Amino acid sequence: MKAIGLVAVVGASLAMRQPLLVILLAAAACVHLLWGRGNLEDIIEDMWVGLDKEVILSIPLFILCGGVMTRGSIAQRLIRILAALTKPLPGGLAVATILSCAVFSAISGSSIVTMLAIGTVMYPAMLQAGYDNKFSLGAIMSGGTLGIVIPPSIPMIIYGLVTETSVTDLFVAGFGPGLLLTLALSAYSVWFNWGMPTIAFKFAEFWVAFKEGIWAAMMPVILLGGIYSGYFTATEAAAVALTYALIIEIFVHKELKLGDFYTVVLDTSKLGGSLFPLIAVALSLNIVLTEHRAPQSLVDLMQGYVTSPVTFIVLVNILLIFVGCLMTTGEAILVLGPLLAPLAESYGFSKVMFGIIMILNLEIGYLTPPVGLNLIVAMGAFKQSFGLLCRAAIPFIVIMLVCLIIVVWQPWIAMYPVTGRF
Amino acid sequence: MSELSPRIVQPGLAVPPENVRRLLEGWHRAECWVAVGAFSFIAGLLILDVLGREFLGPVLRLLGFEPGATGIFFSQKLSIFALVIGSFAGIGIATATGAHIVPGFASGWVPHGWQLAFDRAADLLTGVCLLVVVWFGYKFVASSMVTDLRAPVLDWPVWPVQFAIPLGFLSAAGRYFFYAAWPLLRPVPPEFRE
Repeated sequence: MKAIGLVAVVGASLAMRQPLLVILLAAAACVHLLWGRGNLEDIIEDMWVGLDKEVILSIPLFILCGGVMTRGSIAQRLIRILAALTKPLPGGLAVATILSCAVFSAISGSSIVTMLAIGTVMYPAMLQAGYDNKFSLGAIMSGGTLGIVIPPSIPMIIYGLVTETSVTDLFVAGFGPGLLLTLALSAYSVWFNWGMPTIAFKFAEFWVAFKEGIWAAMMPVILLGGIYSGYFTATEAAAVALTYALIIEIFVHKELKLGDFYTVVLDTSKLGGSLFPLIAVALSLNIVLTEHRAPQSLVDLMQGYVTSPVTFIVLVNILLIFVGCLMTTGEAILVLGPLLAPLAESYGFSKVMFGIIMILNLEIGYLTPPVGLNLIVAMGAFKQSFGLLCRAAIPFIVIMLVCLIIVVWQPWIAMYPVTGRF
Repeated sequence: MSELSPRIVQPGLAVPPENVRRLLEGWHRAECWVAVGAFSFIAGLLILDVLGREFLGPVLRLLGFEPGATGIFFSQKLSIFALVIGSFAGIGIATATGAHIVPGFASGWVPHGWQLAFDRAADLLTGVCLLVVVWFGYKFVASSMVTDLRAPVLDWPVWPVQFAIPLGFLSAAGRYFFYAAWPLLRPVPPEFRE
């Protein structure tokens, strides 16, 4: 009966088109009133406690860093180096697009930032070079999704926060699946464009691009090197990345002014204003659910019906693919992460591995209607119809699904760098 | 500096008084500066801390000095405080720019003719819900003040920072009440949110 009350409140809030912040607050209040001591001040106290985590500081820093890089010319310089390198391949420009997205993902933690930073340069270039329009759109949209798989990744930080999982381990585990996706998407680009004319590699051209882009190219090296070597925590890596991006854009590339920085910080504040209170409420809800052993009850309930880990993970993947079609990544992680992670753990999946599976599923959600964010953003940025973008994404979604299945089947792809075991 | 999102334009709606519009714009500007200050502070402090610990310290030690701790001891605690202030100032900013995440689950359920009345009722409900949160937030801060709760290590009373929580919710609640009264003030939500 109490559970029906909770569902009714959430359902009514959804029907009344309330912000997610209010829906989560209402849900937390219900849990306190129906199962707890009814002391609603505890929600605020738990929000305060929830925000008091060092790793949360990395989120504004990575958002700031993404903003600085988007305004500067780091993306263009990286593209020039990779385009010079991949010219001899059939579909070289398409491969350069995927590789540029992968390298930019190693700096940015966002899918949309990655897609726009690379896509605005590469989409016209690919069309001009005679690439198929639908393929070019698909390559750019799917390449953009690497932004949340290859670390640093803001969804990974949020998952780490709400499930109390090491963000550094998540970052390290994201590298293998990110590499697999990059290779698979690049291979498809070569196969699809096999008939395209190739251009001979010119060392002089590469050398010019390399000299102009060396500072930009060093950024992922410093960042990933710092994270993988264990030298930096996620927050330290974010601070170093931001410092480096500021120094490069202000003093070396000379493309960032003080006024631009104000705009970047303001954009971060807007995003922070909608994200951090939401994280705080989600953490508060998480605390009260854990206090009342809700995840444990869910585990007990689920294990009554599903005993095989394989069946469980297949079902969860289907659920997450479906959720990815309807919810944004942040929403899905905040709402489902704390409930599904303990379940996955009870079936023998570590929270780090499950986090990667969740991110890979939600990554596909960026390309699936109706709320596929890369589709929606691409519609405005590249002035294409939603239907065409959906069709353009289909072969890339299939590739990403195959990669997801491979990672679930062979977890060492993600976990080897974390555990050192196959 | 006008950071506010474009308004919904619908004929036949009461035009909000100019002083209300100016009040909201000034209010928004103030919140923007608080948030920008807080996030700049976080970035600056953490950058100095990491540079001090990871670069200045090792370099000084290489040169034969024994500098002791070269990081900023309280940087993370102070940054968390700034994050709380910036984030809860950000609730108002997100409200003013239509940046809050609203699940699209029930969009299109209401007949077109009722949409405006429904939106106003929804805004009113949001405002009331947030006002309830303000009350409990205030009670939480008041109890912190009475018990003289202090930040570990810094030994500062935490209630001035905690006060940003009810204040942020109050700012958002106030805006929703204004939107319910004058729907023309309501910002158009952004095309997408990540």
